Order: sequence, then structure tokens, then C-alpha cells
Amino acid sequence: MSDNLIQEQIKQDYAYGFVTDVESVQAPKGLNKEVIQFISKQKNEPAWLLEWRLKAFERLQSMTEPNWQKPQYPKINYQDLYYYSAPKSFKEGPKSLDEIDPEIKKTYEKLGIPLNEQKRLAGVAVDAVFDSVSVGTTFKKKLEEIGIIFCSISEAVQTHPELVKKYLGSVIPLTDHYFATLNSAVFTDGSFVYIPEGVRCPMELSTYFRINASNTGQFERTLIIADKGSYVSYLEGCTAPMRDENQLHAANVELIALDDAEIKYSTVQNWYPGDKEGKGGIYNFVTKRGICKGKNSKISWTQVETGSAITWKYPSCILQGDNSSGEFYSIAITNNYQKADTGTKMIHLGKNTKSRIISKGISAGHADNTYRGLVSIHPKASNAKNYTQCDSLLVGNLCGAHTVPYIDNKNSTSTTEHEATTSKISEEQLFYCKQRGLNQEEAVSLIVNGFCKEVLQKLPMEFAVEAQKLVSISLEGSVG
Amino acid sequence: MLSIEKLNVSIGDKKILKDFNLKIGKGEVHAIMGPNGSGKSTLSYVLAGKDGYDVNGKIMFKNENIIDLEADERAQKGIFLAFQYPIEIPGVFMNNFLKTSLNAVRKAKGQKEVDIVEFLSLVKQHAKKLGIKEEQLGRALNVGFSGGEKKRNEVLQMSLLEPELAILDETDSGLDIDALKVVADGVNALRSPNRSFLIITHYQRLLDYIKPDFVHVMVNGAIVKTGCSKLAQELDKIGYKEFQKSV
Amino acid sequence: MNTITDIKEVNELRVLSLNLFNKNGYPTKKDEDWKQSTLNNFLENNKQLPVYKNNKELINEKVLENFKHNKIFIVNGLIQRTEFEGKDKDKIIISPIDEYYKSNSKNLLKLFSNKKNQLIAVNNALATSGFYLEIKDNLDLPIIIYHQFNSVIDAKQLHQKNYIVINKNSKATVFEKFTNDNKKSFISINTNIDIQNNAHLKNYLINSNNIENCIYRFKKVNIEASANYESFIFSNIIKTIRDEVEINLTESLAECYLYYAQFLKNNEDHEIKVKINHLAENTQSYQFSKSIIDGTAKGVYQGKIFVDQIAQKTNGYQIIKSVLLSDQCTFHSKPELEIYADDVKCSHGSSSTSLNKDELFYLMARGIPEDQAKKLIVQGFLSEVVEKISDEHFKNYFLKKTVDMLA
Repeated sequence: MSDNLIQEQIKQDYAYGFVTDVESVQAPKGLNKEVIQFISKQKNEPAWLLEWRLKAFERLQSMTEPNWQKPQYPKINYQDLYYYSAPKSFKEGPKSLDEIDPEIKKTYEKLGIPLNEQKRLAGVAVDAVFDSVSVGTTFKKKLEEIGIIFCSISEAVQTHPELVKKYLGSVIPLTDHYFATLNSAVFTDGSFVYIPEGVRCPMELSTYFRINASNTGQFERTLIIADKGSYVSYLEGCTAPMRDENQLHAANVELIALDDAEIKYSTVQNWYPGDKEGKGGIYNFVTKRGICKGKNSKISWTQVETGSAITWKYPSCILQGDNSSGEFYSIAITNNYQKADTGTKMIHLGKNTKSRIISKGISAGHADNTYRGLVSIHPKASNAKNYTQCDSLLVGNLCGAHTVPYIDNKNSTSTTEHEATTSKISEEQLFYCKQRGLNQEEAVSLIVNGFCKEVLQKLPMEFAVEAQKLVSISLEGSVG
Repeated sequence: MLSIEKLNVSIGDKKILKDFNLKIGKGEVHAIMGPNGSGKSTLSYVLAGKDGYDVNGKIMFKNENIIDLEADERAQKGIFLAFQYPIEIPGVFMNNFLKTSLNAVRKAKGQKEVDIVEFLSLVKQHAKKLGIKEEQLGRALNVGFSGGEKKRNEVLQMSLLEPELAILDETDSGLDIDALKVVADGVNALRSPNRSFLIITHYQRLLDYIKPDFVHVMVNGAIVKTGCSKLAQELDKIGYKEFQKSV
Repeated sequence: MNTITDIKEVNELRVLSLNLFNKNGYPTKKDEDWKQSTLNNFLENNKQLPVYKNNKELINEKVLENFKHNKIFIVNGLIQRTEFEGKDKDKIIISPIDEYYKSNSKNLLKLFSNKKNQLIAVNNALATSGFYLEIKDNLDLPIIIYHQFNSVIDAKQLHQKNYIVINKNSKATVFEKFTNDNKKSFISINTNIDIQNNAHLKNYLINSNNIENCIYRFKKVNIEASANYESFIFSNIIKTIRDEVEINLTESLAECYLYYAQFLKNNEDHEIKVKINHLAENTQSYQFSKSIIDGTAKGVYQGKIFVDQIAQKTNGYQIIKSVLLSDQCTFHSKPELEIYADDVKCSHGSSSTSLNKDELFYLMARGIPEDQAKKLIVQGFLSEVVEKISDEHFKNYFLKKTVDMLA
């Protein structure tokens, strides 16, 4: 296979790069107390929340951006960003799905996200976030009947302030690190989920994030609480229009699992990755952390990261309850000039806690892909077990694949196991497939999908297909 | 020789053996057959003294209750377990391991420990009978051994240690017919009026080569039927379903 | 003494390094490379140790090995005596490092590099001792370097700089035996090793009987075409040691094999840091480390494989295993890969566990008492690394050490 052909195959266009033409209400440019007060006022927030935001803002003044990561990026001018942008028609907030601006509805249709309950994906409730605000949540009624709260976080602040107040910032403290603190100061919207004791959520819950307005940072905040013995599976998807400038996305996601509860959190991230020369694209600097607070609880992160100019995130688990377990399944594909530095932290505090990490990194073009992870077994975490596997696949010799695991074991009854490999698609594998009648593209797609299989299998059915397509599209035929 | 009385074994909340009783006389060969999950392997582990089980009841071996003894003490008293899955221990070499084991057992019996020269001639003699290559004795314990080699290695250890009670846990699993015959011949050669055998197996196949005096059917952690070697052949035809129903 | 100050070029380099150190100070936990290092504590508490001025010292003859070998005695950093056997006499050149500086003053920059590392900067600035060793042809016998540090250096710091060159097509085995009879001293040894085309160096080292002192050993090894480097470090009964190596596989078919076995007890700390740079095609590296950790001991392994864009057809393997025996011991590992070439095979595996209960049961079921069974497993666990040593004589030597260590 010639190099030209490889180049052609790698050039896959971003299908979600259109801009929706809606009038929007924006906070004045820049980051200051007034903007935060503006956001808070727009959302009619209680005083304690404004105070909380301002505390974060004050703290932010003495903090600096972390700089230990592999992907470097030009300095972000935080004063040159809009921190709040809402479609004008939503100033009052949508009362029902019927009130949604038809333009926005069209956007979601183009993205394949149905906001119309009649044309829904089977069994998926969707909360859609457009720039900074939630535009509508489907299936709300049906979920309410069994006590599940699924709404935008702005709404939850109004309707369930006690829950928000109790758990907001309980996993990612106000002072955690620069981007998390920035989010606490200016977060605009996001999803809120509460699953009551003993309830198994009967459908997948889903949020779609869309950055539309230019020069806008997206700072959403998601809070999921699974009460004792409950179960929920949650999925987020993300897209953004093509723009020449980089856009910042700094979300915070907090998960809380109480006794015997289980949260499954899946992400299919397909933010605009920038063009072939590395111009534009989203900076995806997200903080995701879950705590297995109760005994026998479980948190499972699954992520398929194909977009963004820079992906920099570590969905993590604090395994506090005895017998709790954490999982992290990840596929990160970087192409062209994309960069990813992603992985997880598994903090074992309780007895008999288990963690499992499966990471698959694929680099092509000029991209750089780093797995970075921490497995920490504290002295009191007797009989803790960890298994980690990170595999990297390189496509072409202009890209890089890196593995940076930290493994700290401080308990002699605990076990850690770590395996990592780096390889390319071998001539032998390709030959074997071709000999069985597959062409180059089919063979590569088959092998890459095989490489990712363990992770793809962890996605909810409805999204596995989409993810599989994304994997194939990103790399089809790019190996010679 | 061995008398098990009201043996109850569980892991956590899960009961595995329930009021299990069995008597094995000197020189007798007993076979225990049963479906997967009936507790056969647990029985062999508990007899050999593996940790991690809640054990209640009596295990009388040569008129002594051994229930509180450690695994090495039981081995020194003459109980040998041929493992279903012999473990691989990289870096621990066969010769060194066999010699250490042999001398520990001999010491406990009040016999003289063997030196390296005596040991090598002894082990070679036994290995030859079982068709074990000398090269294998220089390798790490069970590392890179085929299924057949591992099982043969178990029989080699049995013949070296000369136990009074040998427990064979699924020794036939994973063996082809030729290897099965070699292993069975090795076991038969060790049969003597002073040595008892407890053979745990799934299929009747092994019992074609090693004729048992008694056959027990084990279902759900207890013996549900006892008979002579004919029972094994019957079982092969009708399966375990009948017995499972009655429980 | 201090002949080094006579050489202008050296002096300039030393001043440069000293300024650099004065600017950055000792490493702290905030430095990524020193995060888990226990050297930090020692240096923090012993900042003002006086620098030892070299002198003629007595050789401790008790530690001589009783097989035939070439001997080099280095006491407190200075060459005190050498004894080379038969034809090997003509193949070995050894001199104090400052003599090498004098005759090669144009060639020094390389020996004073690595200024990013603060402790190397200190070594560059303060090293007053060390040796230059050149091997000109295949040696018949191994060389044993007896590194002896005695109580004269109690509560002092000593910096040593060595340079070893293995000439084209030569083969040599160099065994470094360290004995320490000193307290509260800080010893830093910085050794550059050049292995020229098609040369082979087997470099074995034993860390032992090290009471209450702190050792930082840094080796930088350049390996040329078809040359190879095999190293084995055995550590038992130590206090605080950091063994660091940076390997440059600079030309095709260069290979390195790094083996480590350690049994740490009480409050012993051993930290291993490895960086392997694959800089040319068809190069190969292999790391294999096994640790048994007991008491309140701490083991650290930081290993990084870097593969340059041009280093196609590279193989890099790394296996790190540890067994934790007590409630209070810890093990930290960071097996890192940084890869920029696509046609490579690199892998790493790291595990830390307690003693395998199934193995213990198997041995006990064969009549072996628990204590003895544990020793067998520990010894077997470590000997798996020792078995990798390609020199039969030293393989057996170290196998015996693993047995003696448990006696």
C-alpha cells in the first residue's frame, strides 16, 4: 500500500462541523466577579451557590494551570472567552420539548440525537446541552414515576437544592486543580441524576453536549448520585462545529455510589479535532471522578475518545467502601495533530476493593497518545486487587505512543498487575486476513476493532455500533 | 487408615461438604465419582490441609484427628495429594524441590536424610520407570511442562515420598490415552497392602486401569451411593442425573 | 592533592556545574524523577557534610574472592593497587581519572554532561577521585573492582567519577564488589561507559553490608554497533541506595540486558531508575527485576523505554515483579514507554503481590515446613533473574548468594 493511499485514507472529514444559526444571549467576555454574578443571576441561583462560585473564583486567583502533561498548548487567554452563551429563545427556559427552537431541534436531528420522544432511540432518555444550557430532557415523566430525578443541574438547584448542596463538590473539591476550580466558578449547566434506594433505572440515561457559539468555553457540571442498592447506566456524547480557533471544554463530572449501588458511565467523545494541519479543535480538559462511598458499590467508566485537538482527562475512582470496585475501559484514537493524555486513577482505600483498567491507544498521522494512570493501594486496603492492561497501536512513524503508569502498593495482602504492549498491525496479521479474502481496508478495520473489542463490548448496545463506526472511520485503511 | 466423620466444609456462606462420612481401610482403593461442583476437589484439598475453608468434623488418620494439622505435617504423616492442576513455580528447580521434600518427609519419619548423590540415583531410577526425561529434572517446577508431564511429575513425587494414603484428584483429566496408561501403571506399581488410595474422578476411564475396591457417588457435598467397581460402569451409562434428582 | 584544579578545562566545567547546583539545590519530592526517592530525606538532613579529601588508605584483604581474577582495589575512591594476571596485563590500562583529564582535555564535555540532574551536577563539581579503565582486547579472566569505603569517610560526602572504555571487538567481565564500613556518609559515583563496535561488557555488581550510609550511583552507557552490555545488580543488607542507569543504544544491533535481584528487609531502601534510549534501528533492550520486600523496607523501580522515530525494528522488554512480605513494606513502580517509531515491539509488565499461597500449599503438601517452603519460594523467585546471567561462573556465584542470604 503506497503512502499516498495511506494519507488519503486517514483524511476522514468531521461530519458534525456545521454551525447552527440561533440568536444567543451571552455574558460579557472575560472572567471576573461580575460575569459569575451574571451567570448566577441568569440561572436564578440561591445565595449559597453564588457564594460557592465566588469562593472558587477567589481560590482560582492563586492557582496556576498544571503543566506536567505531555501535550503542550498555547496559553489560553481566559479574559478572551465567553463564559455563558444561551440560545435567546431559551431565556425563560424551555417548558417542554415542544417549545424548543426548531433550529436547535434540527441540529440534534443532524447529530442523530432525537429530542422528539416519538422518534426516540429505544429506551434512552436524553438531556441535551446546547452551548451552556440544557435544552430539553426526554422521558422525564416516566422516570419521575419511579422516583428517578433526571434533569439539568440548573433545574435541580431549584427543585432539589438539598441534594445538590450535599453532593456538589464532594468528590471534586473546590480547590482540586486549576480547571476543576475554574469549572466550579463558572459552570453553566449539565445533567443531574438521582436514583433512589433500590431502583434499577430501566433505561439508559444520556446527555449530548454541543458547543455552537464561537469563543465560548463550555463548562458543564454533571452530578450523579446512586442511592443504596440502585443502578444506572449513563452515556454522554459530544460534538462541536468546525472553527479555526481552539475552544475550551472544562467539565466536571462527579459520581457518588452508596452501598451496593452501581454506576456505569460511558462517553463517546467526538468533539471537533481540528483540521489536518492541527488548526482549531476543542481542548477537552475534563475532570471526572467517582467515589464508591458505600460497601459493595461499583463505578465503571467506559470512554471512546476520537475527537478534540487535545484530550486531557483521567476518569477516576475512589474506592472507599469495603468490597467496592472500579473499572476503566478506554479507547483513545488520535489522528493528524491530535493529542491525548488520558488514563485513570484507582485509589484503593477500603478492604477487598478491586479495580480493572483496560486502555487501548491508537495513534496515526502526527498524533501523540499517552496513557497515564495511578494505582494506589493504601495500607488499610487489605486484599485489594488491581489489574491493568494498556496496549498501544502505532499507525505510521510520525506519531507517538506513551505509557506512564504509577503503581504504589502499600499493603502486602494486595495484588497489582500491570501489562502493556506497543505494536503495529503486523504484516503477518494483514496477510492472514487477506489470504482469507479480506481487502486491506476490511483487514485493518477488523484488526483495529479486534484490538479495541474488550472496550467496545463494555458500551451499552445502543452506542456500541456508533462507537465501532467511529473507530473504523478514524483509521480505516491507514496501515500499509 | 482414614476415617472421616461428619465433615462440614464451607467458604463464607457457601456450604460445600455436608456431614460427609468416609472410611478407608489399609490397602484399599476407593474411588469417588461425581459431577462438577459436587465438592470432590474441595474434599481433596481439605484432606491435604489447605487454608481458606471453614472446616468442622473429624478427619482420623491412623487413629489421630489431623484436622488442626498444617499441610506439611499431614504430608510428613504420609498423606499425599496428586494435584489436579499442579502449580508452576518459576525459579524453584525440580531436583532441589524433590530433595527438600523427600528429606523433610524422611526426617519426620525418623529416617536418615539422603545426600545429593543418593538422591540423584534414587530420583533417576524412579523417573526412568515413569518415562520422565532427566532433562526435565533440571527444569523449574512444572514450568513449561505439558499436561502429561505435570501429571507424571505428580506420580514421580508420589513414588519418591512413599505415602500411606495417596489422593489422586482428577489425575486423568487432560491426559491422552498413552499418558493415561503410563500414569495408571505408575500408580498400580505403588499399590501395596500398606498403602491406601482415594481416586477422585469424573469418568470411569481411569478406573479401567486402576481397579477400585469401592466406588462412591458424590453429589452436592455428600456420598449418596456406595458400591463395587461395577457401579462405575453403570454410572458411565446412566450419568449422574438420577442421583442429582434424588437429592 | 587536588591535581584536578591544575587543568583549566576541568575547572571551568566544575564551576559551571557548581553554579547550576547552587541555582537548583538538592532534588525534592516535587521533582518527578525523585518523587519516591528516599535519598531526598537523607540529603535534606545531611546538607552540610564535609567533602572528603582523598588520602592513601588501607586495603581490606578479607573480602577477596578465592577464584582467579584480575584485581583492582579502590579505597575511598582512589586506586590503591592493581594485580592483573598473565596476558591480561597487556590488555588493561588503568589510571586515576585526573591523569586521563590531563591528556584528553579536549574530550571532557561528555564526562561532565547530565547537568539537568542536580546530583550529577554536584558530582561534576566536587568529584576528586575516580579511575579511567580501558580494555584493549578480550580478557581471559574477569576483573573484580573492590570498591572499599571505610570509616575514614564517616559523616562525610565523597564524589567519584569513573570512565570505562571497552575497545572494539573486546570482551570483558567486570564485577564490582562494594564494601562499606562507614556511617552517615553520602557517596556518589558517576561512571561513564563506552562500549565500542562489537565489544561486550558484562558488568555485575553487589550491594551488601552497607550500614547507615547513602549511595547514589549513576551510570551512563553508550553502546555502539553490534556491541552489548549485560548488567546484574544484587542488593541485600543495604541502607539507602539509588542505582540509576542511562543507556544509549546509538547504532544498529546494539543490545542491553539489565537484571536486578533484591531482598530488602528492616528499613532498607533501594531505588532503581532506568532510562533506555533506542536511537538506532534494530536495537534491543531487556529489563528484568525481582524484589522481595520485608520489614519497613521500600522498593522503587522507575524504568523508561524511549524509542526514537528512526529506531525502527526495536525490541524493548521490561518485567518488574515484587513480593511484599510484611504489613509495612511498600513497592512503587513506574514502567514507562515513550515511543515514536511504529515498527517496534515494546512491552512491560509489572506486578506486586503477597507470597503465593498456592505455591506455599503445594510445597507444604509435600511435607516441607512452612518456613523452609517460604525460603524456597523466595529463593526461587529471585533465582529466576539470576539464571539470566550469561556468565556461568557468576551465575553460580550469585545463585549461591541467594541461598546464603536466606541461611
